[in-house]
Amino acid sequence: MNELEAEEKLSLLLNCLPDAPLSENFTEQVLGKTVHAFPRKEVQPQQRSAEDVQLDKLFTMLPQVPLSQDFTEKVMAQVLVQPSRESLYRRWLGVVRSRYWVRGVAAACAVCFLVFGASLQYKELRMQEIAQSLSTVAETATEIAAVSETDLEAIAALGEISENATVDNELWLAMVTY
Amino acid sequence: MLRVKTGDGQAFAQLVNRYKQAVVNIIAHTLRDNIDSEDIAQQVFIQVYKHIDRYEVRSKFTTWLFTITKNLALNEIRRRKRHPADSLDETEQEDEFSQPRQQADPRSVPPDESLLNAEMVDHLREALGQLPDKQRMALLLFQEQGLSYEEIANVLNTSLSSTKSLIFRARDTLKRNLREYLSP
Repeated sequence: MNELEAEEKLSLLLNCLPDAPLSENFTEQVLGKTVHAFPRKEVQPQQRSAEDVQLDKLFTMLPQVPLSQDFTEKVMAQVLVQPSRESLYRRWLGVVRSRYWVRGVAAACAVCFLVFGASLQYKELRMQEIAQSLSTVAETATEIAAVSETDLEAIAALGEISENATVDNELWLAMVTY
Repeated sequence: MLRVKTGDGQAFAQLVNRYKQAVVNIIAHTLRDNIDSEDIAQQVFIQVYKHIDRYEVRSKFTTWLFTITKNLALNEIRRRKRHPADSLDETEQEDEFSQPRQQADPRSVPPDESLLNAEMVDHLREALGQLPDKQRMALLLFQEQGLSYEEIANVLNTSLSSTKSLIFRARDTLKRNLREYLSP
């Protein structure tokens, strides 16, 4: 019998162990199974129980692990620093319920809303100004292009006009409309 | 526990005083480390205090306490396996726990009983350290704290039969490893 089989049999046997008080004896059948399951060990009840007693005795000899004198104080100090979950919950409820907290949040929200609205308004005005400027530039550029492409003599004449000369409005209008 | 649940600090201090040694013993024998075990034991009691609202008065307090102890001790073992270089204390402690490395002198007289006992305890610690974590924890709860199979099954979150099997196998291994000290 290999070790795995032995372990499986052992598990089966342990499942058979009564959960009732230990004073209840094993039946002949269970004892027979036990002996059959471990033929190699040649169970010697007296020797095994002596080993068990010795092992129990050995466990009682395990010394207590040394502990610092202020162990409890250290724990209590840490516990007091970290309030319990319940007290944290209560504190949170208190903060939520306090009027100052609500007022503060409302004021902050109002300020944020005003700043956001003002910035939007400013951006819109700027966009309108830019659009107006662009349209003016575009119109002027179209007029000059039209003149320059169609009438070279007129351009030459314009070049000859001195700074002091008065503008002939009728002529200028005629040129532009042409 | 009822008093602790209502936030009585003095009652909690009494609770710590009553169970601190048991908790530290289990952690120290599980980790084979005296220094870190005290810190972890403190964490155990802090966890108890923080999660006191989860404790049901109907169930046994020691079962709940040792469940937290087991979880933190096994977490520490897993952490050490992941980061073996983190704990320098561990290597020092292992030296402290391990058997003195000296050759037996055949001319020397037999050691007296106390020396023999100390040697046996050292061997027991070493043999305990070689057990799988779950077997070691089950055996310590059974031998040191006197918990019943059912309570150990609850602490380890296993079935009753598995618990019996764990303890049986742990004892069997110990008996095999310590045969020379256990023979009458």
